[in-house]
Amino acid sequence: MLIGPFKVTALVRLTVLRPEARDKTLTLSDTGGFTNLTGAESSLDAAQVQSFEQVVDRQAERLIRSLTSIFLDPELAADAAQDAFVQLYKHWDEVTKRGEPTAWLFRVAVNRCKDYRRAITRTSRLVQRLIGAHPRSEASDDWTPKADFLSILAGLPARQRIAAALYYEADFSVAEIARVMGISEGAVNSHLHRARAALRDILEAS
Amino acid sequence: MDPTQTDERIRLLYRENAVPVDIRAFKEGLAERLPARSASRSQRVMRTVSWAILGLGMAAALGFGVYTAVDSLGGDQPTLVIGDDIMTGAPGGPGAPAGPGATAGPGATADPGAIEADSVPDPPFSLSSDMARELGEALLREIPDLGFEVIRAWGVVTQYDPPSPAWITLGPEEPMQAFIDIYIHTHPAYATAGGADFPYHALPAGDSADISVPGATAARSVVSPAGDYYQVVALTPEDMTIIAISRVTLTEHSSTPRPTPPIELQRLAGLVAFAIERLAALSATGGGETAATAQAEDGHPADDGHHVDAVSVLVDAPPADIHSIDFRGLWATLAEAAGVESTGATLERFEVFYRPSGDIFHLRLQVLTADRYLLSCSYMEGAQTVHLYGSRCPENEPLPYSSWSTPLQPVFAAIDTLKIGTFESQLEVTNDVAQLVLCTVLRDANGTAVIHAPQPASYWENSAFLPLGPEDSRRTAGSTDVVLGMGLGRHAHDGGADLSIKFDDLSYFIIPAESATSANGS
Repeated sequence: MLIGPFKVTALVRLTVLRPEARDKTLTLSDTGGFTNLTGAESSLDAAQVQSFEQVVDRQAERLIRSLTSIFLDPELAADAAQDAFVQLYKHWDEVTKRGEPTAWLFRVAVNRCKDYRRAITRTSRLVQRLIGAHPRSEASDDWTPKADFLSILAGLPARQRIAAALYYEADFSVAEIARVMGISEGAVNSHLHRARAALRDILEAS
Repeated sequence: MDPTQTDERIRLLYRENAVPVDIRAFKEGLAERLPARSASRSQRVMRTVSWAILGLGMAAALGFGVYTAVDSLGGDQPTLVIGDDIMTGAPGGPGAPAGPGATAGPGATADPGAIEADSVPDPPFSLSSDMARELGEALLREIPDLGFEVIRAWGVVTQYDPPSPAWITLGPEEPMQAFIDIYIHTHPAYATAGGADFPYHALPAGDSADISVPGATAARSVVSPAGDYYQVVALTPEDMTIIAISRVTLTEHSSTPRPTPPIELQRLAGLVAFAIERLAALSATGGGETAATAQAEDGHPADDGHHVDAVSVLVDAPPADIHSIDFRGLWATLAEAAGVESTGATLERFEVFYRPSGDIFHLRLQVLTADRYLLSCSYMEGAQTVHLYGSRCPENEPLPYSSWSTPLQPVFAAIDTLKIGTFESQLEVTNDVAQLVLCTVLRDANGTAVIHAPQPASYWENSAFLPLGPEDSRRTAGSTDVVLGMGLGRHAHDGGADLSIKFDDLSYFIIPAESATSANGS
C-alpha cells in the first residue's frame, strides 16, 4: 500500500488540526517580535500588542511542555497552544480585565487539546477501519522521553496528568491549578497525591 | 523520601523529559494566525447549514440584499464572502476582519456582536424550565442568552443580575466564590459506545458514549471555607453543535462579612490522630505499605491564631482493607477523633460504587454533626487512598441545597440490615459497576417529595435529586424510612481517558424505619 500508517495518520491530523491557509499579513521582526499587529485592522493598540507578546514569550514554552506531558503529543500541544494564544489575542480586553491571563490561557489550551483529541480519536478509528492502519507511537521524533516516564504518564488518568503537569512542569500552585481545572483545591491535592505516588515509582526504580 | 524532596526530584524528571520547543518557529506560526479573523471552517460549515435551514426565501432575500450592497459600494470596495473559503481585498491587507465598509454574504461575521471564538451556539439555548424549577434555578433562567454570552466571552458573562440570596447564604461570608460551569456538549459525527462507533442519533438508547447528555448542562458550585458544593442544575434537550466549557463568576465577595467558624487545632489533631490510628489498624491487617498525610486547607489568619477552615487527610491503604471498611465504625471513629457530638448528626451523602470483583470503585460518606462539623470520607480506586475531609459550617446558616440532611441512624441501621457484603456477592458477572445510594425521602418547601438517587446516565455526577411523581409509592415513605437506590450498569469511555457511567438498571427499595431499627437491635 502506498499510504503507510504514518502518512495516513499525518494526513488525518492535517485535516483535523491544521488551520486553513490564510493570507499572511504578519511577520516576525528580526528580533523575533510581532510586527504589523497594530493599526487600523487590529483591535489592540501597540502597548497591548507588546503585553500580548510578553505573555507569549513568558508562557509559550511552558504551555507547550505542559500540554505535551498531558497529552503526550508535541504536535497536538503546539497546535493547541497556538489556538489558545489566538483566542487570548482576540479576547485580550475581556481576559486581561479580570487579571493576569495565565490561568485562562492554560484552561483554554487544555480544553482545545481535549477537543482535538476527541476529533483525532474518531477520525483515526475510522481510518483504521478503512485501511487497517494503526496509529503511530505517541512520542514524536523530536521528543524522546524515557520509556518509563512516558509509560507512567500514559497510565495516569487524564485529570492526574493535568494536575501533575501544571504542578511540576508549569510550576503552578495548587490554587492556580484549581482555577485552570475548574475543581476545588482539595480535588487538586487528591489528584496530585495519586500522580506523585505513581511518579515516585520511577524515582525509586532509578 | 519526604514530600518536598520527592516533588523536587519529580520536577527534575519532568525537565529531563521535556519536549524541545522551537519558540521562534512557534511564534512564526502564531504570527500567521493572529490577524485571521475570518470564521473557521467549522464555523462556516455550521453557519452554512444554519442558513440553509432558514430556507430559500431568506437566502433569496439576502442574496438580493448582498447584490444591492455590492452594487452600491462599487467594485473597488472590499468584499468578504463566507462559505467558499475566499477572502479578498479587505483594506490594509488581505485577511483583515470585515469593517464597516465590507459587504457580506449570508454567513458573514461583519456584525460587531458576532462571536469569533470557535464553536458558537446558534441559536442560543435556553434552560429547561422543568429542571430549573425543580432545582430552584430561577436565577439561571433569568439570564438572557446564557450560552451565547458565555461562549462569546469564553468565560465571562456580562449580563446577569446579582446572585440569588439563596445561594449566597450557604456559608461564611469571608472569601467565597460562587460560580456556574457551563458544559455544552456537541453531537459528533461518531460517538463510541461499547467499543463500537455509532452516528450520534443512532446510539443505543440512553447510552452515554462520547457525550452523555446532549445539549447543555450547567453545574453550580460554591467554594467557601465551609466546603465546596457542586450540583448539576439544568439540562437542555436541544441539539447543540458546540463543545465549550466556560465559567461564570457570580460573585467573588459577599457584602456582609462574618467571622468564619474555626476548627480548633485540637480537632485538626484529632483528625490526624484518627488517620494515624486508622493507619495502624490497616497495617495490622498485613495489607502492605500504608501512609498518611494531613494538611489544613484554605487557612486564613484569625485573631486567636489557631484557626483553619478545613482539614484534609489522605490515608493510603491496601484495597483489601478499604474494601473491608466498616462504615458505622468509620463514622463512630471519625466523630470520636474529631471530638464531635454524634447525637443528632445527619448523613449528607453516602455512595458506594463496586466493581464486578467486589472491589470498591468509589465511596463517599459525608456527615454533618449537630455542632455543624461536616466530615467526609471518600475513596477513589487507583491510588489506594482514603480522603478524609473536615470543615465547619457556620451557625444559623442554611445548608447547601445539595445536602440531604438525612437522619443518620436509620441509614446506618439500613446498612446493617442490608449487609453490604450481600450486595457485593450479587454484583458479579453482569455489571461493570454498581452504585448504592441511601437516603430518606426529603420534602422541599413546597412539599414535593424528592430522593437522591442514581442517574441513568451522567457525565460527572452519578446521582442527583429526583422528584417523585404523584403515583410514586416512595412518596408515602415516612421521614425516617430509608430509600435505597441501586444502579447497575457499566462504564462508557468518552473517547479519551475519562469515563462516564451508564446505568442499565435502576432499582429502589424502601426500608421501613421499624425494620431497620429492629435489625439494628436498638
